[in-house]
Amino acid sequence: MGRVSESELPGVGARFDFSTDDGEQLGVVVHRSGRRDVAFYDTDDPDACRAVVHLEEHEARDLAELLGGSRLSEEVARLRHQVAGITLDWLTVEAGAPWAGSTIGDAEVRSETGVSIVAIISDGATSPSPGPEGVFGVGDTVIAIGMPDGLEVLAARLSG
Amino acid sequence: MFVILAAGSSDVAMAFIELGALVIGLGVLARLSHRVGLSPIPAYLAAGLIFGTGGLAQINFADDFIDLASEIGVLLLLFVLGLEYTGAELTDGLRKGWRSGCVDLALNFTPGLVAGLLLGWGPLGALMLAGVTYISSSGVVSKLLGDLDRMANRETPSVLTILVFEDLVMAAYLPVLGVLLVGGSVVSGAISVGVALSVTALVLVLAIRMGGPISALLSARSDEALLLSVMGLILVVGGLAQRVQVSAAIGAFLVGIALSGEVRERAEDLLTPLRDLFAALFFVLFSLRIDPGDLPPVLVAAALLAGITALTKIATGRFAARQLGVGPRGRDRAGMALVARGEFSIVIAGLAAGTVVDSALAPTAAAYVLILAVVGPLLARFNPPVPSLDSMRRRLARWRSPDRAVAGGDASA
Repeated sequence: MGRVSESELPGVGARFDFSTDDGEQLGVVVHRSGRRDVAFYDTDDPDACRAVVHLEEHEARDLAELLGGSRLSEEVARLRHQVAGITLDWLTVEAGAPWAGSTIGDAEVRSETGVSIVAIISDGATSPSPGPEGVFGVGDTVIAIGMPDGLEVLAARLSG
Repeated sequence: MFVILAAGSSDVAMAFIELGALVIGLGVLARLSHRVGLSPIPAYLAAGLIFGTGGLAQINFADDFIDLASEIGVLLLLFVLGLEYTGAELTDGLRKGWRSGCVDLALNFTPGLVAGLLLGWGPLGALMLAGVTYISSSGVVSKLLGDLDRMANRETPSVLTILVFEDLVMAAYLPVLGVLLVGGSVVSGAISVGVALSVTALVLVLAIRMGGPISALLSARSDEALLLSVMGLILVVGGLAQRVQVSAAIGAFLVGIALSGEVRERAEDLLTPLRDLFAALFFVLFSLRIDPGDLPPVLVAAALLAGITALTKIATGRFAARQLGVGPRGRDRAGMALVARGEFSIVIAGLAAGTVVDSALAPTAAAYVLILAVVGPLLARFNPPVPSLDSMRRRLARWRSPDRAVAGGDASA
């Protein structure tokens, strides 16, 4: 939310401005009534809007769900799985990571971190409970279970 | 209302039929205006002119009721205006918008004042005409911004801030006017103005500070209870304000400001339809009193004034938008959006009813609002190129410069 700026609209509500990495300018007008307008600014005339979408309160909620909902539910699931000090975590294997390309056995994951690898998802194909021959391919999603500090070590070894 | 009840049953029947026909007529006008995207106010005014004193067809209405209803219309117009902005928005508007607000006041109050004096209406008439030309129609302007999808535009906060500032100026202007209209000696007038202004300022501060408790007191689960208590409060405070010569309209305005939070929102939903009904009666009654025969003599003055104050409003909007760093096109949009004058110009002119300035002011204000309530939205919609003061000055300088004069001489020779 670093690039969001707010302006007051007296009698109406407030406007929030947002710019994307591409340089696209977006604005959201939050009406006091709960209505939202999503505005796309014009590149020729940056003070005017090229298009405006009007959303009722429930429609705005639906759109928000679509835009940010999956990340949110991931967070919720992450918290839900934090039971009695044991945490379940999703991690992505990044290129250039110390353990990228190596097998679970070679990396000595168990003795290094103390966590168990529950599954490795590679290109949508899941290998559940992989043995020592399971490979941390670049771009794979690794689901691991263990103590938070162990998972932190694993996260460090899997990131570039 | 009591008059209607006391009258014979055939009178009651007639009164109902007349009032009903009037309201149906206004409903048709409102429908047509909305279809073409204009404010219904000019249509109401035109209807009043056609059917009123000396008009094409003369209709006699149950006067007492409509008189009272139209007074209530003024109270509700001001009440909803007060509701529009929270105390925080008003103080914020004053802090951020004082610069554009003062430019607005200087550019749009002055033409009316000068025109009033030139027309020989005396200081009071001039002061009233100044109010008529000063205040933009916040109803028309905010509806335009919504209809034209401009709420997200970057010039829009500058337009809204101007409207907030005008609101505050009204809070000072109306009590002063109320006192001056009552008349009296200079000294007693000055004292009354001082008293009226201090009372308004005190209540304004209280309303902003105490908005929470007042709203909590009024809060009720049922809409019915809320409607009745808010409506009652508007009438009582309006009446009390009138008693101390602050003008009932200002009392209603202050009630609007004092409401906050959930009560404010619900009161807006509940009372806006009532305002639409009573305000429509007010507009039509205002112009019913005007003899269309009085219009032609004032038409030239009204049109000239409309032209000048359209340009000064455009200049105001341009200035205000430039303060926010908006580009030239956005500045033009801000200027044109502010041109429309409407309900409050008529409210000010309506205060003159029954005084010496009335006979000249009412037709002028009606013609003026008829022009700008139609031209304003059209300008805002189409944004025609209007030369800025700078470019006009430059053109004038070029025209005056010696080599240009020589070239002009050659062409004519």
